[in-house]
Amino acid sequence: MEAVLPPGIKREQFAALVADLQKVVGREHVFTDAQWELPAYNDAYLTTPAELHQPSAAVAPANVEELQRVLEVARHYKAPLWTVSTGKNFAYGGPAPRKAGYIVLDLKRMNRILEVNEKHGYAVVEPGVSYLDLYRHLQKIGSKLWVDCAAPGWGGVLPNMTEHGVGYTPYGDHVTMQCGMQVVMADGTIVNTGMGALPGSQTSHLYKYGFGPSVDGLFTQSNFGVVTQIGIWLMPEPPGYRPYMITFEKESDLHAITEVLRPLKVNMLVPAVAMTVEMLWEAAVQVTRRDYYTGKGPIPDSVRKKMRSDLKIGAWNFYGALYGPPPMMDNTWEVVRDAFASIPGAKFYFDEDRPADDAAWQYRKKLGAGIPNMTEYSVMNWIPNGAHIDFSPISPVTGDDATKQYELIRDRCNKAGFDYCGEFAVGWRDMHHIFCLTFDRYDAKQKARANKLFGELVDAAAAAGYGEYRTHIDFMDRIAGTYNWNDSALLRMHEKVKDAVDPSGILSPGKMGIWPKSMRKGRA
Amino acid sequence: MGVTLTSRRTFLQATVRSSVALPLLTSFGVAGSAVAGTVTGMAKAESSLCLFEADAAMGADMAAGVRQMGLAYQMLTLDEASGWHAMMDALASARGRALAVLGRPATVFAVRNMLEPGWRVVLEARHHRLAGGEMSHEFTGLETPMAQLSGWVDRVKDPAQYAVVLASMGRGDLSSGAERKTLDLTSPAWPGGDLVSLLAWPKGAV
Ligand SMILES: Cc1cc2nc3c(=O)[nH]c(=O)nc-3n(C[C@H](O)[C@H](O)[C@H](O)COP(=O)(O)OP(=O)(O)OC[C@H]3O[C@@H](n4cnc5c(N)ncnc54)[C@H](O)[C@@H]3O)c2cc1C
Repeated sequence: MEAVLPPGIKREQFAALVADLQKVVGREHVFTDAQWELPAYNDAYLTTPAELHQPSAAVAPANVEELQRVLEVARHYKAPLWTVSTGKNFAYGGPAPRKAGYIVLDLKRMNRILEVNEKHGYAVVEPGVSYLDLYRHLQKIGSKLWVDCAAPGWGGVLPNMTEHGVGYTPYGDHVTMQCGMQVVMADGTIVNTGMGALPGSQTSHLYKYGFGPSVDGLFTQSNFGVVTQIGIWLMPEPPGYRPYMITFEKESDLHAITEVLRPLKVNMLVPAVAMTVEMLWEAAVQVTRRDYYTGKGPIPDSVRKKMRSDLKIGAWNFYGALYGPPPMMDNTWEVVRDAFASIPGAKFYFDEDRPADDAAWQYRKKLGAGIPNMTEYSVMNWIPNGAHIDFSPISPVTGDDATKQYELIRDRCNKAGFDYCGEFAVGWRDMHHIFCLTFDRYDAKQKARANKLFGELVDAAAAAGYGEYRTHIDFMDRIAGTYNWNDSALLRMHEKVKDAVDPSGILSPGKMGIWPKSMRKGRA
Repeated sequence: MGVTLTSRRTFLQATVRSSVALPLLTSFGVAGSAVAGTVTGMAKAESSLCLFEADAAMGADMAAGVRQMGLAYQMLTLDEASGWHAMMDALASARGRALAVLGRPATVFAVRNMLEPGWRVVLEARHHRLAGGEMSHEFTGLETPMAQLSGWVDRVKDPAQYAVVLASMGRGDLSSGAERKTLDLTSPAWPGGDLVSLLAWPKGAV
């Protein structure tokens, strides 16, 4: 790929900028080689041409002091930075910047686990700490605290939280579990939020809100600052853990499953993020499409039936887990089982009932106990050169909404020639519907179709009153545009904040549709 | 998979003796005397690190074979935290060596994302079955290793054989301006599903 320059910066200026960055972090931590180094910052799952997101450079500071000096250089040249931590945000853009020419601010080297507090159940981490790193550290020190991880264990504890990510234990809502934050602002000022603003604070990671407005949320899914530390609450290992799976025979069972689940979730009888997973997701992590079907278009019903029987899965598959002392788990199970048994054809499984080589069960069992792994990446093996972008609308936890969303996506997706592969994750009161739009990343036509379909889904969902909880870099403006109540009052407020805290517009321009004044089009 | 250690050795010895493979191995820094010597000695001189998918279909005995050649070997899996950590430790201690990786597409994707930008991926190949049953091998990378591979790929019968030869390709030196090329080859069908392989050299080699 051809080398590119940051927007508005000339070649000579760029050379000076790179030299200044090298002075700050050392030559070996500034990457400019378009052939050998910068491909590491591409998104292999793009549906648009890679040139649109080609960085001009990447810079990797080792600590806050270096980061402050990198920001100083960026301000001086008015060079846009694109912040990533572990940089594994695949399905939503990977480490690639929103626009070509940005300099990726890679925080991977800031990877210290600063504290593990066994007594109060939390850890304090820097941006580059992955779930796999934290898990290993906890094991090494003999901690009895669990990590709550996203399905890909290489993701970062901090950036997954800033992206509003989810895991699969009762601590699965990561933003809720974050407590205490350190942020470096665009002007280099270091801010401790919440209780951390009190010098010598004893409670920085125990009480979230501090004194006065609580601002942590302003730095999640945003470009208002660079988060350099967070406290994250960790779940103490419970006296018992019993994961279970319930399979359902019919596609139309989604309605009843969701209705049964809602009171169980609201009353905390299903304490972890509860997953209702469509059959192809289950299949994709363990077999290939070609093992069953080589035709074009969506997989026919007869083939789907055979897959279900071979893999011992249902049309929908519910994953939950019991946590606590055994008598408590026994009691809870009676309620859960009786509730779901009202759905004809429901089959119940514990660990001992699933085949030992059932990869889908094995990784979900681990996730429910906060044991990181990477198995879910196997969905890439489902089709040749598999890649996916995820469409993730939020819905109320009702059978009607689940069915409406499912049909809205399935029908458009089948019409566009793709299989529906999705899951519903139920949190405290909401349901995240994750549709994994899988395509061949070397097939330009398929990519174009996937891109078009995604756009149609955004519009159709918005028209039905559903908005997405996060998205791929290619769709940030489009989705931000759907959150337009009262003449886009929220976006305008975001822009005002942006202009106030980052007047040079150097931090991740365009993230979530928030552009600095100098790059804003069409709005005052 | 019906590949035994003996057949792999025989295969490598045959490729080494053949006129195609000799330049292949010597050009990657293997001394002439090593080529003339035993397979084990030669492989030691190369000292590549091999990362291969821990998959029954690819043959656990492949691991044994590679290990017997004196090459550092690490099983790859996406399923276990311990396997991941072992891979990361192996990579951390592999500085200066060549790296040969073979596995399912998702697995190799994950490894590649942990390698760059510190390593140079000089060659990547996608191995997949064509409708007619033949195996297609699509290479992208630098011309030198690719040209050298092209002489024997059509004779490779399974992933284990391919792994052995890939592993025997040590690190080389090329100018940084070296262009990337593509090359499509075919071979008789391999057992198992689609695979991806890559050859990486540490920063500084390119
Ligand atoms: C197969 C598959 C399964 C997945 N499953 C899940 C899942 O179960 N749960 C889930 O939540 N996600 C999931 N994802 C999405 C994604 O992979 C994870 O959310 C992952 O944790 C994000 O990558 P990362 O942690 O490396 O973040 P990064 O790539 O480092 O960062 C992501 C974004 O966060 C922002 N950011 C990063 N660091 C900072 C910082 N220091 N300050 C301010 N902003 C910052 C930036 O905008 C950046 O683009 C899945 C993806 C795939 C492909």
